[in-house]
Amino acid sequence: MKIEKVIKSYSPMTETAFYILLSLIEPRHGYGIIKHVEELTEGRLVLGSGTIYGTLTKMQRDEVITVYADEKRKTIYEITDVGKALMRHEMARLKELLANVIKHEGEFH
Amino acid sequence: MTIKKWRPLWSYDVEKTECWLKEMAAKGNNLTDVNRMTRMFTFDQAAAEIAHFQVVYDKSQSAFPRKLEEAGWEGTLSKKKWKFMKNKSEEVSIFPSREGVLKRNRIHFYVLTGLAFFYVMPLLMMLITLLMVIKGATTVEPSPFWSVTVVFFVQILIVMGLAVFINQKLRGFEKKFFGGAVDVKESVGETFTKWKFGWMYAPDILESWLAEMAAEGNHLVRVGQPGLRFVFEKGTPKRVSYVFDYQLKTAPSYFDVHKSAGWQLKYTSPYSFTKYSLWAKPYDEGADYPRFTYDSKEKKAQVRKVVLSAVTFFVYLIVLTLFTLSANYSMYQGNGWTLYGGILVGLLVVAFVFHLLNMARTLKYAIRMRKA
Repeated sequence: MKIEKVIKSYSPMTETAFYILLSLIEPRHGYGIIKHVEELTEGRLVLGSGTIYGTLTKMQRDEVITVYADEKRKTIYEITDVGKALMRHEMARLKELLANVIKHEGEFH
Repeated sequence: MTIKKWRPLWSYDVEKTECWLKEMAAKGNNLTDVNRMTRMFTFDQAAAEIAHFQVVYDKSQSAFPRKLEEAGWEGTLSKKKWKFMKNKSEEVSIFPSREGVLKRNRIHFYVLTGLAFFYVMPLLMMLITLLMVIKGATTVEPSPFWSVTVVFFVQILIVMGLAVFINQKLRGFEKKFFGGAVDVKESVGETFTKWKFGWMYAPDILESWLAEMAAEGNHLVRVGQPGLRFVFEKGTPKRVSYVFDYQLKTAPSYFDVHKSAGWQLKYTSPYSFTKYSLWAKPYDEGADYPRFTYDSKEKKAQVRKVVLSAVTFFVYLIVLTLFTLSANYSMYQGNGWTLYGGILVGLLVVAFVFHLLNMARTLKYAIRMRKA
């Protein structure tokens, strides 16, 4: 899938998709992703294995991530260049969001 | 000097093919070509080489994992979507994924099975004719095209044989590389059996029944095919969450993802389409009740999937039964009833009521889930 197409269909990203991709800064297996997202959000976001199965399958189909197997034949997920480009795009969007939050948060008090 | 070797079924047992390629390389044969149509492998004479081989089927050309390249995996030969990968390192700890091969072979299996079903009638007709000829009940008019008949007959047998063969290989492949095997617990204590019918149409009731059983110390050991016989073992009370999962289409990573998160596979229907599975996960007191998803949108989508599939299936069956029933009824009404006709119509009525009840069960499940 072309990068523009991927960005169009994924951005703005769901919280689940964002944290899954963020945790793939290094390759991990399914349970590794669940644990890492839990750490990143300090236990707020607990993902079920059904949730990550659905998201990972879709991302793999769209070549946002790719897979290989370890010696125990467990599937390991790795982010692709397309996935990295998607994350850069998403992070730029979130930065803008955050800048506006900081600029205007006082007005809501 | 080149050597040619014919391996007609190499792609249905890639592990065996890889071992063979390894042996060939160790004897100084360097793979130079694979003809996908004639199934012919060509080797050139070269220096003997110790290397790991892996056959990869990959639709995408771009997304080859970086870690694999770093680990020394390189392509030796590429033929359309097939890639023959090689690794000369002594210790290899990561491997290319076998998902592509599994998906491809699954498609071959479904196509061949479809064809095999299509061929059942012609095959039966041919066998009956053959039997009549052998018994001398008919005379045979020689055909100028006997060869066509023979070729057709042989082709039917090949398709059926191949479907069975691929199915067998696929099951083994799925169990070995994709964690598709049911987690069997050796029962040490006393066991007992309970039968449940139609639970696929009321999964919530089954899940809570199994959880209650576990809380009373009755632990599910296994579910007998075709998924109606539940065998329990008496033990100490435990907290266990059970999940019934239904998937229209299952990705190769399905079992691995859930197993890696601590779920035990208790039962799974044999094919990757319209797959029913039953999963269990023990949990501690005070901990969250484990589920496949905690997202309300995903939960609703799952219920919708179960309900829509079941309703489509039952509407089809009900229409089919009604049609057969009315055709038979009017025929016997016109020509007079026979014992056989009576039994047939009776059975059809029973089938009709059975489908109707299961459909009602599904709809009741949908209503319960709406309220929840």
